[in-house]
Order: sequence, then structure tokens, then C-alpha cells
Amino acid sequence: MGVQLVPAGLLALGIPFLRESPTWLLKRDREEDAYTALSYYRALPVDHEYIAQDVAHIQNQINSERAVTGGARPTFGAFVKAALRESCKKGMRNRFLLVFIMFMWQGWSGAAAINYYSPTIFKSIGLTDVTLWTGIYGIIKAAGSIVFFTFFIDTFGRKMPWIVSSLACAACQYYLAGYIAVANPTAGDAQSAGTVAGGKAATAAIMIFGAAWSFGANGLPWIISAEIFPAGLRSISGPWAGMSVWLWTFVVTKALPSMFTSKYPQR
Amino acid sequence: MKYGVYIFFASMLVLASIYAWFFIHETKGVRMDQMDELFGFERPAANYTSKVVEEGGYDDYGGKQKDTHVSRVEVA
Repeated sequence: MGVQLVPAGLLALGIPFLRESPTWLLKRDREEDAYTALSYYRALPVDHEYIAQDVAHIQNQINSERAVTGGARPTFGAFVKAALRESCKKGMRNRFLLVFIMFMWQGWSGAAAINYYSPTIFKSIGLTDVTLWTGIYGIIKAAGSIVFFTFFIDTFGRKMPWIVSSLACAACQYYLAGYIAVANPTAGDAQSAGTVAGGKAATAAIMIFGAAWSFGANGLPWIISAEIFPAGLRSISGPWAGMSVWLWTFVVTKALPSMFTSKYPQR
Repeated sequence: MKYGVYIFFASMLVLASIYAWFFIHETKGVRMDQMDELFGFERPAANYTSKVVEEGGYDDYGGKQKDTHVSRVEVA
């Protein structure tokens, strides 16, 4: 039962390596600290031109934010009002929509269906050692995500990995659908050699799905939602991303059981 | 076992990749201040950054800026 402590423990170990938000520091007029924090995050020297430009840009955004909220320490109401007005402008609302839709695709990517129901799938394709295979599937996803988002995202970008990942995941699920439709495996029943071979391929399809999903819908919506918004709106855009992911998770989780028990199509 | 569920999700993934092809802007290596341009946002006084950084000029806010800030950027 203590396994749940592992991710939380890793998070706790990472906290000392965090620096204060440069935007927040600049809002508090702690400019030196902002330079230090940015230099840490960018792994660039404090006097690097890039750092100075970042600070100038954040400062500019804070200033335009202050200009509309009326002062360095706007009331909560004034800030929210100004932020909402800015969020609805052309060139800003499309970013909020993009984040919302990307989390919608993430929710409807079928990962939830495979996550929550992979034991059922493993059983249905004739596997008996369900715990082992669920564990392997989880490890593939975790390792794939860590490797891709640590080493490759700034080589391959966001758009092409998203497209490649989505199509690969789709191919895996089409195969699963075909296998289930044709072989209709049931746990415990005697199975033909063809059904067993198809089941092995279906297990491979689930594992490939996990690997492909780990560099696509799994993390890319978070990456994009974190990088496209201006500093002044991040206290709005972060919760917006969180709201989007939980809204779609809720919808998909609610819909799944009735999707699985639906009468059509059936065999 | 319902295979339709997987056909549905697979088709959603195909739609997601079509959506990405047309509507996801590549944001790799795009800097914070270039995002506005990428998404078609016109920031009031957007010339401020370039002015300060490139010309070491003055702010557009009637001197609200502290001198330390401007001089720091000029050094860079």
C-alpha cells in the first residue's frame, strides 16, 4: 500500500531544486532574484542577453497588466476582471481554446479506456498473468514519457510527435477492435492457435499504444499549455489547463462504463 | 467484449491528428515574446521590449519604470 508514496516522495525530493517564479519576483520588484532564478532555469549566465530579454519581456507584460488593473497590487477582483478581458481578446482566446481542445483529445484518446480496463482487455485476450502485464504497460508509459520529455521534445517539437503518436495509437486500437471482433476471446475458454497468436499481437498492440501515447497526448497538452501563455496570464492559464483535464477526465470516466456495456455494436 | 469502443477511440485519435495538422502551431524554440505574434495577439505597447533591448531606450509608461531596470537591460 505504501507504493502510492513513491511519486509523492519523488515530488518532495524535487522541491528543493525549484526556484521562485521569475514573474512573481518581478511583480514584487525583486529584480536581482528574478535574474538569478531565470539564469538557473535557462542554465545561462546571469548577464546573458537572453536573460535580459526575458526579464524585459516579463516586465513589459507586468506593466501592461498594471496599466489595466490600475497599480502594482491590484485587488483580486480588478486582476480577474482585467485578466478575463485580456483572455477574450483575439490572439489570446484561441490559446485557451487550443488548450481546452488538446485536453479533450487527450481525454478521448482511449488511454483512459485502456488504463482502467487493461486488466479486462488482458483477460479478454486470454492472458492470465494480468497484474504482471498491467505493470509492464505502466512502466512502458512512465519510462517512455520520461525519456521523450527529457531528451527529445526540443528535437522533434510538439506537432509532429502529436500526429505520429495519435496515428500509431489509432492503429493499435483499430487492431484491438479487429481482434476482438474476429476472435472474440473469453478468459478461460479453450482457444485455437490462431486466437492465441492474435492475442499475443493484441498484447503487443497495447504495449505499443502505451509507448506511442507516452510521447503524444500524455504530456504534450501540458507542455503546450505551459509555454504559450504570457507571464501575466499564467495564474489564469494554469488553472484553466487543470480544469480542462479534470473536466474531460470526468466526462470520459463517466461515459466509459456505459460505452463498454452498450448494446451496439456487439457480438 | 465490445470492439466498438476501440473503433470509436481510434477514430477520435485520427481526428486529433487531423486537428493537429491544421491547428497546432509548432512552438518548439519559440520564445515567450514571439508567442503573441504566433497566435496573432497584438499587445498594447508591444514595442517596449524591442525598444529597451535593441536601442536601450526609454519606457512607454511615462517614467513608471525604475531606472535600475532600464540600465540593467542596457548593459545586456
